Amino acid sequence: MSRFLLALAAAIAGSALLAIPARAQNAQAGQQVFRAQCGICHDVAPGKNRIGPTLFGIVGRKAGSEAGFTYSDGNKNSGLTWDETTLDKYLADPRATIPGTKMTYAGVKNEQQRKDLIAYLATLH
Amino acid sequence: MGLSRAAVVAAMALSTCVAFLPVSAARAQQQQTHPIPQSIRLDHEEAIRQLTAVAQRKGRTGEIARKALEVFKAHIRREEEYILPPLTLAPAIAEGRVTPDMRWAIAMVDRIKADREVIFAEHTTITAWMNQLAEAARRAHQKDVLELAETLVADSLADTEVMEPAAIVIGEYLRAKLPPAQ
Repeated sequence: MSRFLLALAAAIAGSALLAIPARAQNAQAGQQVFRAQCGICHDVAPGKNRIGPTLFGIVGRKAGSEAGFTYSDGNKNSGLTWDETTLDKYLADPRATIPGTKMTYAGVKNEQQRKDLIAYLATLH
Repeated sequence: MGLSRAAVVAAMALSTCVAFLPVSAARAQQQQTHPIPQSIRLDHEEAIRQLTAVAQRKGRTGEIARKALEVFKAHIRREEEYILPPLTLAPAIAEGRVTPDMRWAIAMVDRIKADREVIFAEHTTITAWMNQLAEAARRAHQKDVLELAETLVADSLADTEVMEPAAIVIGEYLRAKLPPAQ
């Protein structure tokens, strides 16, 4: 029994160790997506708003709440909080998810690229 | 004094042309009739001049700029045709002057409202090209191109945030103030 538990614990620890580099790889790929598709409007430094709001701390933030950025009413009143699910939906089709958003971006249509991008955004804390 | 045969033929040809004047030509006439604010005209000319200059470069930035230029010019044509002309009425309206000869702006504003999603989609296309241009400029260490791309995206935001809504406000104000057309 104790041998079984030991093996189980080792398997869990092993899979966790494997998951960390995979997530890091996703984030690295996501940074490339960010540079190619978001970088012209968004910064990732705290408090640095440009054409779009800073994406520092985006995961866990209430939509339309970054201080010093003027949002559309659609964004402010969306009631969304940015997490993996809401970001995935918004990034797939921004204007359909938040009608009236002023983000002039058609969205990331590739699902893997969206996952990678969200993994990168999650690192911005 | 009678008309010469050449003059008659020319007049007939002209009347035929007018009869079959395509919609786009009619809109071009509308564009000539109603200019856009001079400050914006200068901005457009400068943006096209700079993007054209980048389009003449060799390499990736030139290649992207050539494609982006087509989309950008098409959008500018649309803006100058019916999005921006109503803004020329803003100074007069701000001084409290509303006259029936301003009615043309209402029809333009109705077109803006009908085409809002198409116009927005054009902005997203321009932003996408500018993203590509900016990324290529970073790789090629072309700071001037990077700045141009950022400026053009900021202009798109200004159109969405200010110019288009302002034009609509002008049209709706005129609709409220002017008696219905006969």
